[in-house]
Amino acid sequence: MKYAVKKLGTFLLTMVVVSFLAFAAFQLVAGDPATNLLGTESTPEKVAALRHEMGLDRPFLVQYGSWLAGFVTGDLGQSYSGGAVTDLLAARLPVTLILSGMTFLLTLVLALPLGLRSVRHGGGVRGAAHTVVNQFLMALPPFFTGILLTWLFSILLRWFRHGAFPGFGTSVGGSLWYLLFPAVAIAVPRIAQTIRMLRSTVLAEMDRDYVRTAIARGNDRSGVLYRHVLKNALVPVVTFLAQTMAEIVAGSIVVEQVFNLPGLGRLLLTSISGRDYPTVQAIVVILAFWVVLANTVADLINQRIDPRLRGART
Amino acid sequence: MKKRILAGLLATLLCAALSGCGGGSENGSTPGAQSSSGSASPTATATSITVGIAQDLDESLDPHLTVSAGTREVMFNVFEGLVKPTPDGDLIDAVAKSHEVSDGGTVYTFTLRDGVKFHNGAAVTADDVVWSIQRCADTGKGTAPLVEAFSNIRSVEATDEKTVVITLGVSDNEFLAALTTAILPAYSDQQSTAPVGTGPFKFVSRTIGDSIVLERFDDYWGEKPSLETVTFKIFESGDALVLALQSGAVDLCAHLTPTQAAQLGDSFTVLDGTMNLVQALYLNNAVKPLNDVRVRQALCYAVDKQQVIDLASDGTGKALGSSMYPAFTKYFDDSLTNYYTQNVEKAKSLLAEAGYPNGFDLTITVPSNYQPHIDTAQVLVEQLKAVGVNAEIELVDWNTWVSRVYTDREYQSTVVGVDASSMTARAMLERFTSTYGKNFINYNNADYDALFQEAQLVTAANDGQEQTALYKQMERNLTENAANVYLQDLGDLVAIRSDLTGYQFYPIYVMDLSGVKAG
Repeated sequence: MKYAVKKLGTFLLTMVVVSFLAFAAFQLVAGDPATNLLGTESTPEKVAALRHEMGLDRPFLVQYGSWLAGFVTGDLGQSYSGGAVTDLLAARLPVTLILSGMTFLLTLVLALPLGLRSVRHGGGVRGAAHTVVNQFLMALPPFFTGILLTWLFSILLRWFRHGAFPGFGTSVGGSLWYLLFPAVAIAVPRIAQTIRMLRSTVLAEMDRDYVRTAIARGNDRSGVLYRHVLKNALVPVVTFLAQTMAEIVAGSIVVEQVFNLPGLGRLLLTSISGRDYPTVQAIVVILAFWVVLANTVADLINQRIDPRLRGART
Repeated sequence: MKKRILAGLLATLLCAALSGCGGGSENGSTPGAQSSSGSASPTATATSITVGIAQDLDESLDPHLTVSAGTREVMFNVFEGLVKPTPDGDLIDAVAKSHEVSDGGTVYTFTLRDGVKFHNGAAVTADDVVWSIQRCADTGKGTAPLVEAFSNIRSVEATDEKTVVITLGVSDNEFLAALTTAILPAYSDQQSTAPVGTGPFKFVSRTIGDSIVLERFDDYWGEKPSLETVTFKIFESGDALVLALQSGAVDLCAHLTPTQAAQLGDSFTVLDGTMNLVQALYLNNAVKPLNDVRVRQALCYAVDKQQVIDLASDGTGKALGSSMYPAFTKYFDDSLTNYYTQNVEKAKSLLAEAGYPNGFDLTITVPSNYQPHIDTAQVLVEQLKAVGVNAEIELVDWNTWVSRVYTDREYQSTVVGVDASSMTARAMLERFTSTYGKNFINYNNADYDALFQEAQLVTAANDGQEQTALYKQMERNLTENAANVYLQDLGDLVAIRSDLTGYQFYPIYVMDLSGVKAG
């Protein structure tokens, strides 16, 4: 209980610091939202009037304070490009969440069995080949894989129509099918990394004394692997998967551009170039929330797996 | 306990694996169906097309409040004025059936066309017209009117149900062009989110940041469009746009670069028009050393326009020599195009004369979101090297460009395209008069100002020949004084699915889909 309260405190503090830093960053970026909105029609008088209307002429801390007060009460403010920020986010969030979820699922489903398989093959030529392929896949940037997948599955095979994402309101099945391709693009390097991670921790664990003892007692190798080694190797892997969760969202931001998905990432980029600060601010906070949440969950899971961690922290 | 965790984990994996496979094969039939209705067999989708656009529309779709060219381009299909432009650059009656100009060009009498309806089903009345024009002429809040030319209006009256009389303060023979201003239902206040006009297409829905849907207006007074539904889908990424064209998700897209167009296969026809803008190396005439006319002329002599067009635009641009684009045939003066031809020796001697025998350093500020301008600047840097001018490109985002270059005028030179907000020569040329608020090159030439004043006072007689001559003199003035290093009107490549025809280019920045049809 005490542990959970402490975690929650850290969690909130991190969020406040991140939101403050994000807010401060906009003060340093060149260009100003009022000028941007007025475009080539802008005159100094019009800009001054609009800045006043938008509250941009107030001191920095006052602006931050009023934003924070709004955020706590669930009001993310008005986007400069029209509409409430909450409405904009509500339309975009499902796409990014489901894309990330699919990617994570793919990573789990493929990386864990493949990782364990690669452990059993151990060294030798096959092991070396495995390592080379794995290294190659790890280095594949999602946007590049995305373009390759599109070329193959959309343009050559016509399995899906690139750019024609139907949206969940129109067709849930069609949307999921479309999202599968970007999900694979993000998942490939993540899967490769998870395999490597699993392989190296399991192999390190296999060299430990208790494994030798267990085998000496007559257990077979795979029995030892699943019953003893895996559990001990799982703690760093779960921590790694939490990081993966964060990286998947980062990958999603890039891949949404490639597949023209109406998700948070595209909204983030257009909002930055349009100097739509309220929207950018809200997205940054959501992304930070996501990362901190993933890490907190990983900590809690690790505690369940390894009771020693509970003792160590309290 | 331990076993339970492991068993649970494995069970989860198994479920996930099974559902993953199941999902894949189940959906396997869907993409097959999709591809059969793809670009291979056009009949299925002939009456509804998807158009790719590069950015979202303005926050407000209200045509009177629209600022961006991209929004006007799309909403051209939804709104009409009393008159509307044609692909040839003429103005024809739209909501009006006919118009008459009398009293020395100060009284415009419009007779409304019968049977013109708004998208909400109501017939257009003289009151709607009066309201729409008064709204754009309003100076009640002490601000400039929404349509600048309307500041000249003395009165707008509906003399009967079908007649509207507009009286001007002084005669203005370009006034008709301002009457392309959209006619809206009187007292409408939902235009920004649910626009209602009289155009060939009506607005259906909009998803911010994603798409805008228009539908054929079956009660349109003129020839009804062949297309039933047009979806404008936003692709901020040029690569994603090309992929979407190749996959068949997008049927039509304008403003492609030659590189993008070259990636499209046989399923598209690429139409070659012009953007209707003046791309130039715009020079800040107020800063050293560019305030010396000899230096500016030297820059003009240093540049080979054709090479710029060939290298940066794959030969798709059209050369020009002043602030007027070729499609505007009435005002375009082709004799200025080759006023300066590349002459390195002459450029060097002009520079020496001006006191820069060893050249100078020049910063070219370019908005980073416009690849054609960046490409052009790169060619210019090389060409300027030959005369000793050491040019350097500074990339800034559009926002910074607007505030630093266009508004604050804190720059040396910039490569951009300048276009006309209305179909008048004035829209291109007034901006360089010394007192004009948007004279971002700080051009200050008394002769030029005087010519502009004169052009506003001459009568509209003889189809405005006298005025046209004056505007041409203004163009010559810009060229002779090397106000800018004029380059080209950029090529506008439009990719259209090869079974679609009827796309027409206009001399202004619009996309007319009313004529597009299958076959």
